[in-house]
Amino acid sequence: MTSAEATLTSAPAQRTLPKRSLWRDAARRFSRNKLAIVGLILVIALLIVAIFADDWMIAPFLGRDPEPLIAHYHYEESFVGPTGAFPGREFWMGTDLNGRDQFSRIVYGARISLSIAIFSQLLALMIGVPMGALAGWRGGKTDFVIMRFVDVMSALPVLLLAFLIMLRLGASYWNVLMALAITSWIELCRITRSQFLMLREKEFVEASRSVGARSPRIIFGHLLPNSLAPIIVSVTLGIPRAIFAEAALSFLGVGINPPTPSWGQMIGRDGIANMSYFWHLALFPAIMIALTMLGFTLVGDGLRDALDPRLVEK
Amino acid sequence: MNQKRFLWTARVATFAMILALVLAGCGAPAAAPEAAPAADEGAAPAASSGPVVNSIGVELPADAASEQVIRMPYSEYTWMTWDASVYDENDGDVFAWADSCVRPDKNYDPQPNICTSWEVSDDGMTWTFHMDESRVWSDGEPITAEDYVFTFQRFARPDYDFEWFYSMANIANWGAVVSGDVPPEELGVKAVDDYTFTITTDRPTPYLIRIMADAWVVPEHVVQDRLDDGSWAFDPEKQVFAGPFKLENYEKGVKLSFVANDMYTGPFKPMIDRIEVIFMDPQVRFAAYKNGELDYVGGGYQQDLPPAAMAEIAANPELSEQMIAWPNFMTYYIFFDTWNPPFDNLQVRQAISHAIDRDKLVNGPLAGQSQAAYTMNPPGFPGANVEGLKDVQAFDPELAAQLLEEAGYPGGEGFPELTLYTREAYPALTNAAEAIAAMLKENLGIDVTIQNQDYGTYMENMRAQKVNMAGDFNFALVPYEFDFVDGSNLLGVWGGCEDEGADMPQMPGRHTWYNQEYNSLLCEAGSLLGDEAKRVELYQQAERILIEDVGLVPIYHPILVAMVKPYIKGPMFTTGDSGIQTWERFRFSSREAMIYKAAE
Repeated sequence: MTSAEATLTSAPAQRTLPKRSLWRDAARRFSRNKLAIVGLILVIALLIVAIFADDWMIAPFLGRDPEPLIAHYHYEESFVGPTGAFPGREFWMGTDLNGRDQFSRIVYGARISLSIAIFSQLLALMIGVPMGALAGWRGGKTDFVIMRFVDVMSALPVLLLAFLIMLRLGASYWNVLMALAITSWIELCRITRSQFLMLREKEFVEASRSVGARSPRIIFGHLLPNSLAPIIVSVTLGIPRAIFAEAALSFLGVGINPPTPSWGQMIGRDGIANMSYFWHLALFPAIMIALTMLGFTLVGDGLRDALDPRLVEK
Repeated sequence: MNQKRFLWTARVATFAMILALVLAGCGAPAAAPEAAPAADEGAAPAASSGPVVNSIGVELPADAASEQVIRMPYSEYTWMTWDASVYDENDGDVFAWADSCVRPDKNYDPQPNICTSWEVSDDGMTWTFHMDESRVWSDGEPITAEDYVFTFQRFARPDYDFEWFYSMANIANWGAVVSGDVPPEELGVKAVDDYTFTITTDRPTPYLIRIMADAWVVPEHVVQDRLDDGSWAFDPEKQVFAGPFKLENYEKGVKLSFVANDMYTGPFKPMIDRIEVIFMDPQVRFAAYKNGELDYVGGGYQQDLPPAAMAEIAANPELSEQMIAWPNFMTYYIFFDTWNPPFDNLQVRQAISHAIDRDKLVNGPLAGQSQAAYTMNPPGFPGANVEGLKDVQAFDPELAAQLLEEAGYPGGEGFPELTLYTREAYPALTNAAEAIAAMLKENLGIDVTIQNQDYGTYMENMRAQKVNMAGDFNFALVPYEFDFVDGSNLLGVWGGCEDEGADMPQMPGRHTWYNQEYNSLLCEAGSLLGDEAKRVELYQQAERILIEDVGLVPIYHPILVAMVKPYIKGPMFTTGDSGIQTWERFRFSSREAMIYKAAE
């Protein structure tokens, strides 16, 4: 007994053990997951494209409109080439029917798709987590009311609901954000609630309650941090869904208002109708949607594996 | 790495890719395979020498094929008769199964049909129509003057979506009958005897005879109730037909089939035995045509033949030969709320009119299917003054920028952000709107977003803007297509005879633009009898006011394009005085009765 104790408490032994925390472990597991890394590279590349499509961050200081950086032209600039030109050296992805450079529109489209997806998920986070926390912590009637509402909401097909909301609100950037946030907080609410229900019965919570900790301290000090992993995974996996939903709404003509480009809109308006001849109009935006969804899905999957070791061990 | 998870991820990725592409295919069901119809019941003497006749005994040209069947694409609508609805009706039928009082010829001049002759009284207020006594419904009942009295009483009902069109005829008591203030018998349409009826009007209406081209007669003995919502025509037992064809079968979601009407005695005896009106998504029609599943495609509003199809046709000599293109009497234009800032300033409107390069539009997104417009009246339309007005709003970016600066918005500074509303825009129209937005941004520094609205919402907003004389709906793009070929028609969108003491919202015309002189010119020309030259002159004066005051910015006149198989022949393809060949059903009518199928 004493020898074992000595080993455990002896200082040199600590050096041989790597420093471990949940996040460090997760990062290590994530970095070993090749697919997740591929996804991460994709996501980072897309984010760079979206952020540096033009120099919006310095333009205000120079007192002018933003000028294209990665993009070759502003997305609205028409008749810079012949209409419907096929991909070539000058126009990498061809031109559309208004003689606009499709590559530039794809680049600006990344900004629209990614920003809508990310912001709508953050918005959903701001609705879903407090609602789920409330239901899980208070229980009883509050839980019943919130969860029945969640049940009703989740019975509705997400795209249909978003479509109806858009019909009501009218097409615009902010309305798409709203519609997607309204339709995607449900899952976050459920996850948070179930985490809270599980955690609030745990011994460490009981312990902290028994030493007199108040509710806010327990919630923000114990329950929320311990629920974070599944929430992060859910948000990450929500992003590709939101990208697809935005594309679908714009495809149906109730999403982003022209002339702002969106990949779904590019496919839905001219892409499909002209696929038989101007194949490039639908192909490139479709590839971009697929790559973006793939990237975020791989990252989300990787995060799930990394943050929830139990799943991996199975 | 978890194998299952990997597979799932791969599947999601594939699914995403496929979905993104398949979004494309949405709503594009494969065309139903064509069942070979046996339509040679009457055309028995195929092998024998002598003239070939069709199923109803009409002699066919020597090169006619033995099977006289034509297949055309269509979109399915709700109602089955013109008197139920005009905007939501399967009008593939109207011109085949219904028949009207007069028929325009290729020069748009009314020719005898059910009405064989007509005269107008000296004061121009009473028209008398004499009918063909041989004409019967497909059930053998005669088509009588009473049917026509009933027809107009039926059109004059408040829930009818085309009532406004007939109101343009100024028939006595029209408004009072529609609102129910007087009984329908008071309407100014009366039967004199079985085959003669008269129409009295409130004021001389020289173009009334042109409206009679759309006087599609309704069978009183079948419908009976003047206020019937149109359900009567859903009952196959009740359907009777006056035109060259009759409905044989309506397969919901699949097709309508027509056969030659053996009771028809009018001037357009059909050579075709059978018409198959196949419901098909516009996106697949051109492919179906190329596959030989359809005998023609197009002739509509630029959806059947998208830019890809036009490019393909241009690149293929064989397809190019099958193409027919002709100008439509229709104008796409931008209008403003000229009663409120910023568009109450003429210079602002002028700036916008000079900042839009129509040539780029008609050679870019609208290529092959449009011509640049600088006037409300399209070329060739009565009263049109295309040459005289084409410079008023000519493209001139420097002048545009200068005008905007004089109006107080140098470089677009301080100018409100605009929303350009479009009405049920098809893809090429949205592209055109985007190009306009880009031009306004480039030439004037004005930011424009585009918002498309469905028909109902758009029209409601447009009306509300006028009624309230305020609102956000101040900048919009809309088409107007002619209803009848007379100088009063398209200009009537902008005004007409003023009622005494009317407030601005009650002024004639549908837009938020008003000019008293314009209205009095239109009113004078509208009731001027017997001097067409003078009328044209008055309309030209009026249009100059409209264009110079920039009530509107005309953008383009559509050109209709159709592909017709080379084996479709007949008198349909002879040209009018304009020398232009058309493949048009609208207002020519009886197209299917003017073609036959030649042996390939």
